[in-house]
Amino acid sequence: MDSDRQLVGRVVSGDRMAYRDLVTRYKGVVFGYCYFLARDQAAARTLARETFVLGFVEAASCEDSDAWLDFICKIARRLHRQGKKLKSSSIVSGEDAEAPAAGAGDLPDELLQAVAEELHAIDAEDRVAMTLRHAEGMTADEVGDVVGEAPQAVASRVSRGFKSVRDRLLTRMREGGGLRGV
Amino acid sequence: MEFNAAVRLFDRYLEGELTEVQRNALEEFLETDEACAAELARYRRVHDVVHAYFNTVRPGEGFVEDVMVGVEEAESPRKRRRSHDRRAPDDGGSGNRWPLIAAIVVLLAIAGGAYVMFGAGGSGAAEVVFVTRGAERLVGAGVGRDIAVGDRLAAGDSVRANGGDVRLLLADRTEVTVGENGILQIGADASTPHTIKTGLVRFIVFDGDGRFQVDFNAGSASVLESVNGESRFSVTVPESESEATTVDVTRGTVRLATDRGSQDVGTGMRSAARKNAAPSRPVAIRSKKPESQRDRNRVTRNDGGRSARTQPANRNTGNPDAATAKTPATSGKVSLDDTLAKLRDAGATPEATRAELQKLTTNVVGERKEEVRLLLVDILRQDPDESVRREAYTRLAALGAEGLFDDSVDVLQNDESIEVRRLALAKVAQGKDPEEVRRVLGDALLASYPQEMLPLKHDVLQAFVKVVTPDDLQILLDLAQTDDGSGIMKSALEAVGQVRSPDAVDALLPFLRDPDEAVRTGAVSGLRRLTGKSLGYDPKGEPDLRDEAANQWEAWWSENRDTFEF
Repeated sequence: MDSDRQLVGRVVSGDRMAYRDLVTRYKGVVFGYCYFLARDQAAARTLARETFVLGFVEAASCEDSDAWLDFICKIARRLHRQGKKLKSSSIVSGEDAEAPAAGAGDLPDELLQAVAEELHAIDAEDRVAMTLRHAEGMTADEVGDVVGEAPQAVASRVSRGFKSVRDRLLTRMREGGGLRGV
Repeated sequence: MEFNAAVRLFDRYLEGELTEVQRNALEEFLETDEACAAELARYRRVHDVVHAYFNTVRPGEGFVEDVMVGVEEAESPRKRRRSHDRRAPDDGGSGNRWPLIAAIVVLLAIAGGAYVMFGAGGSGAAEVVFVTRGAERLVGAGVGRDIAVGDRLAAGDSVRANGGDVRLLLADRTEVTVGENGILQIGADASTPHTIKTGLVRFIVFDGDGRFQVDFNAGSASVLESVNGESRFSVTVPESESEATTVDVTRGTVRLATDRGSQDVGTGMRSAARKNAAPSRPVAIRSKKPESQRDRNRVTRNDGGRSARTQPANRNTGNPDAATAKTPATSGKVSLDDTLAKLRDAGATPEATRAELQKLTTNVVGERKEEVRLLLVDILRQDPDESVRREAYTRLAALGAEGLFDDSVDVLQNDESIEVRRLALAKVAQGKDPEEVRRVLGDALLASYPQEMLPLKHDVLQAFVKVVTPDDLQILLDLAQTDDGSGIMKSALEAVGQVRSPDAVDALLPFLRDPDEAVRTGAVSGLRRLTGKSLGYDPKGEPDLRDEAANQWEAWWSENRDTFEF
């Protein structure tokens, strides 16, 4: 698996297939961040799409190829801050893009937003490991290849991150009288 | 077991990681301690919620493809704008048309794993989903209604793009972009091709390993069903007004046909079909680019009617016998052919190529002029040496052939060298149609630039402000929010000062409060240019003083907006 640095280097040379790999790798992480910013899935999708598109356009200005994810998140913040009117886009194949996976149930927006807030309050590297593991379904080995850590370290991050989010949500429940939908 | 010890086991219990002994001990304790059981219930709900979050908050299927389409779009603003420029006929067939050659049929056979056409499994009718902006009018079978993003089309429907490009995605992942005023009819069934009635349509085919892009701008075009593992496209150009159609084949085989004959054109070859003539014998495309960069079959048409604005006068370059660097006014046919042959030699050194270019006469007319032009354009597109391309463009500009403006736009948008692009920019800025110049420069401002090309953006902006109108305000404002480190934001805001309208002042005022000093400086400079005033605003001043001055600006403008004369 190519590292972020290798992929970014190819992207700067105009390699769109390399960029496709980057988008595939981090779509869950970036989308989650955009959801945290936008608080709405449709808006998050549009923001995430525009973020990635701009990420390709501005790839040459990414000063540290190893911190590409930070670079992309900075773009997301900028776009969100500008309150740019983003073109809406819907997708694409014969499948319903918004259909949740089986078993997810109907989670109220308030609950999703609460999780998003707590998720983005924990350590960033733990969050990335969690997202790659749970949202993208990567194995610990695969996550380790992406983030440059041993699988055991990845497992620790995922476990620690999960615990942090859960504890924060529990605290929220106790102090705030509960979370609707939990 | 005690409460705290039990709670410490919850994580591993919920993940199924406890040993059997540990699990039994915990479950026995939970049966006797209600408080602990309640705590576990809370843990479990939150645990499930976090897992469910990752299953719910997802970009959804097709997101990556959507992004890549956006990337493609972001890199090609000019091609979209070109479809705005074309005045395609309406349904009645009136109005200016792109000239077309009678009954030219071009078949593109593309080798490789076919991943095209009508849905997997070949069940018959194709389904199409709109993926892009705008409400477009759907014409043809069953309709006449406006359509919007997310709509699905059925096989047999036609689409007309009224308000801009329309982008579709077929069920087989082929991406189709119909340029403005273009009309595309979806194939009625698996055996009927899609038909492009008019305008520019681009197909991006996912061809196993990657994407293969084909642009059709030659009139009606059909996408045929895959045959024996090959993707095949057909371009039918039924009208009879074109001067020439040229086909460059970089992949597979193309059949170019007129009513006077047909010609198979193989990979790496070029053929042209001129009016009332059979297609020419294929010649090798002069290219030094590696195969991976030459992956687009190109079908182009020379529109003698559209491009002819002012027919340049033939130029006498001086005493044909003078031993100067200039080419004699009337080169012998043989010497011109020699020069062209040497220029077609892809193995020549840059020095040799430049020398031949300097010998190349620009005092030619008719078909020879077109031949010289095509060769120079080919060099501009293919030669990796900047000095060669610079010389080629200089000769092209001197040639003064029809289509120079369009060729210059092509160079401005695509050349790899900022210096060559600057040469082309100067020619573009001199274009005879101010509206077209404005559109091209506006596109160029919004295009993406590699880091080393960013200074060019400033040059483009300087040219743009000479033709800018109030309708272009949004372009400047978009530019003013492009933080690419080149200082273009400040320049763009200063340029807003050239748009003499109240909307320009409205747009600039909020930037007085921007956290970026360069932006504030640009804004007050623009305001000063528009109104002749600064009202004491200092972009470098303390925040509270700046805010106070900004308030004064807003108050002053509120009082004077309706009566101010620019």
